[in-house]
Amino acid sequence: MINLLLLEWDKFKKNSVFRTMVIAYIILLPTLMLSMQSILDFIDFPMKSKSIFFEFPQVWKFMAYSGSWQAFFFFGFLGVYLVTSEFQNRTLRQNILSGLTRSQFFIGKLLFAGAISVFSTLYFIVITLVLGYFKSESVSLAVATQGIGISLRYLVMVFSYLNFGLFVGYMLRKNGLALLLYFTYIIFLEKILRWAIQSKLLNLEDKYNLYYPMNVFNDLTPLPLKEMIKQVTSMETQYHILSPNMALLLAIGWNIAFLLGAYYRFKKMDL
Amino acid sequence: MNVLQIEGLSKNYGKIRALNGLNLTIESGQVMGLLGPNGSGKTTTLGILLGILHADAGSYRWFEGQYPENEARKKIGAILETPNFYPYLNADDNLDIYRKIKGAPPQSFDDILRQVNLIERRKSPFSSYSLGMKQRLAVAATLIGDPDILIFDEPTNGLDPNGIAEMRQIIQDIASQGKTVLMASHILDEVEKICSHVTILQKGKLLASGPIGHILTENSFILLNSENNDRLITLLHDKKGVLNITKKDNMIMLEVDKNLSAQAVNRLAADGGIWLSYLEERKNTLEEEFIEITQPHHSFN
Repeated sequence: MINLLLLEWDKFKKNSVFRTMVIAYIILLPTLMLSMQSILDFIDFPMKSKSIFFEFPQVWKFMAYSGSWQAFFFFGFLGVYLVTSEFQNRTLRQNILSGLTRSQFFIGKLLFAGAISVFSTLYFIVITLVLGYFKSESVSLAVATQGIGISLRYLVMVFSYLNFGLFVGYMLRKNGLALLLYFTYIIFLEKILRWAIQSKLLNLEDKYNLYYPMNVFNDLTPLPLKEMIKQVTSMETQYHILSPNMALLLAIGWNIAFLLGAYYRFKKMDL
Repeated sequence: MNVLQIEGLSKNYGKIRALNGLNLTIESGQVMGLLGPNGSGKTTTLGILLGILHADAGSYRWFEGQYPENEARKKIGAILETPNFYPYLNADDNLDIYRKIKGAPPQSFDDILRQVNLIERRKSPFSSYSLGMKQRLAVAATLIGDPDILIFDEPTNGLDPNGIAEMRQIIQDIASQGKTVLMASHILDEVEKICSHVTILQKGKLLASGPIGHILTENSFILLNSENNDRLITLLHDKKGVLNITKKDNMIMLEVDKNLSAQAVNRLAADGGIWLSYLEERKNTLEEEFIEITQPHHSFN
């Protein structure tokens, strides 16, 4: 197992796309949050304290939300690339004919996606603690770690985007096509699908609208304001966001579905 | 020991039958040429044998089934179609990846890279290589772990004359070490020069297989032309030593046994009152044999 993971590392450690995506995440995760503060200062946001975003424990949720955008972009892109580059360079063929089984290749990618998720979550924890420490007025360990529980959902969120990227990569094999589908599906195809299936085809209740994969991944680390609104209003907004545990459960379910779908297709296909 | 046994291997691409019930056995130490025109099923066969493609029917066994399939592949060095490497990695890094996949112990690639004449460019990324260099790196990769069997698919495709000569020399050197080689090619001359055995494929079917000496007959071919070829055919078709007559590009191709010389054919035509405008004795190459075996005959015998 560890050999398969190290093999992936050997393949991609000098790859410019891999490096760019990782470095972009490392740089942008803290800077995006910091730049948000200057924007808030600039637009004179009507709040009693603008530092609410950066203080423990809220900082966890805001950082997680900000991180989810980067995971969606950088790690989803990376997930697609990890698979399609092997198809397009035909290195996948050479891997197999040199003695790797298809299952080993598949597991190697999965482990690599898992490792990236773990490291990016650890980085998220460190950056959040540092940011929170400097921005909070009084810091105690208990307050600082109050929101740390979101890290598990953050981990699943990062893995979900990577895994969905891998899935699309296995399905389409071609880099450009797979990236196009990855981004268009997340940005608007799912929304169209939800609208068409839910309200036109099945005529189901609105709450089922939330169960679609990208919405589930989104609700793992949602925009904190959304949650606040949900707390203070009891209007129809009650169905606009999944509960954390529900999001976690559904995300794991979708991940298993994507893995099985990709594995089944990969085992069957001619390379 | 037979290192490879293929039984009834078939593969379809949609309605196209790429491989049609192929049976073949390769013994240890043979240098087998898999010969056929483009689209005859050579690469499909190799793709199935190497776990890249799924067969629709039939089976194959490496090393008499001693190892699981992927373990068997680790004992084979293979190039399929194009050289496939990570473009941003250099020769050493690329070879090391395939060494790890093969489970071979850590090694210096000095000897291998020297053998394929890439030692000076070993630290350049693969994407900066010329086609010849890429192909040579692919050969280098096949040598990792000192495999017993080597598979080359059109190894000289796209190379310049220098590259072709170099590649053939490398393969001949490998073959001379007593390794089993399976080489697909549509270039007959190449197979004739390198291989001890040949299997001829056409439209996914096996046409002939055996030692090159057995597949090649001792017959020779004579190309003729005259003002009246139809009369010439009538004149020659029942003469002793004439085995087959085909029309080729407005000329006549005569297959004759070794006792009938070009000079004798010339005399036969002159005695019949036909003056030849062209007479060429062809060297008996695999090419003639190949045409003989693969093309439907327009025979006058």
